[in-house]
Amino acid sequence: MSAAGSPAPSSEPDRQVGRLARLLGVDAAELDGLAELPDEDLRMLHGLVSEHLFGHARHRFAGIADLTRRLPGGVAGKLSERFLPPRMAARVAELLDPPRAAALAVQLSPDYLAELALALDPSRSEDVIQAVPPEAVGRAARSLFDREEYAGVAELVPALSDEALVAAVEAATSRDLLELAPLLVWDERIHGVVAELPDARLDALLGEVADEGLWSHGERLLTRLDPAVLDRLVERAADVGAEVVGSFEAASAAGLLGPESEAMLGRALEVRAGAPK
Amino acid sequence: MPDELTDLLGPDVPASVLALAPERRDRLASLVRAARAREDAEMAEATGAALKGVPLPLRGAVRKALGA
Repeated sequence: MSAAGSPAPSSEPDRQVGRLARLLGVDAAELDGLAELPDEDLRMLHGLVSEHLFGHARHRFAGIADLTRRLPGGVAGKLSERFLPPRMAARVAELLDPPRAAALAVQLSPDYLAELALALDPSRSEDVIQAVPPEAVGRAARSLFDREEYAGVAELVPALSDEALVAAVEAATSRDLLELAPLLVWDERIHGVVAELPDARLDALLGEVADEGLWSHGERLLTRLDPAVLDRLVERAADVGAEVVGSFEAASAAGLLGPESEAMLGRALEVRAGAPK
Repeated sequence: MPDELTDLLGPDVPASVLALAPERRDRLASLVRAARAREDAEMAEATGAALKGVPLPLRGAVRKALGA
């Protein structure tokens, strides 16, 4: 829990609408009005639509899953990628035992695994997702980041193993992390991973915000950080190059910084001037 | 009164969904129908491609797996 005032994940309805849109293969904007519905109802609607789309073909998915169990991992992976569209592969994956799913995952290309992961229902396939080796998760995450599928990554994060979560974070650029931050549910685990980010990554985040003028992205991240991480960011901001600080100061003068960013900048400038914190 | 969404998705459609304005309900039903048609077509295409394309020794097992 962030004492820095981490806001409740107010985007939960948007997340649920995003999941439904992905299932239907449409843009979330086409589901205008649904975000006003209760989360529980949106989850139920997702389940009903999923059943309508795939329920009648369950015996086929079960048959493919059974065949997959009997083939060597490399052969099954190649056949899946060649003949099974990722959305169908996801239905099959949900029926596999986690070790078999993990053995298959490492045989798939990052792009295919990424598409498959987007089509998974994280609530129904948590065991399977948890079993995927961190290296494969990192590669798939990179593919998803390249396509700016931040909402999809955010949906999968709660189901990832700790090691896989770290691998996904390591695969992310500073821009990716800034885009992802407001979409995550900031639980203890996320705070823990962020607390372990090395100084170089914090410096890179500050640099990305300053270089690209991502002031609102930076503000959204700062509002979610624990005080200890905020303190580290202040230290890093005090220590980074004058160019970065200069950009923050210029943004402040132009009224572009939010309150958390202003507070961080003020404290960093005090540290730079040698004044007590 | 019959509702297209309940026709498609069954009787458990949440009340809040059924309370949407009729044009939104119709739009949602139409998106669900389109998605089902797309999935069915994709499945048929994938099945056909697999039956024609997998190596011969595996074709019987694939046919059985797909129930084709």
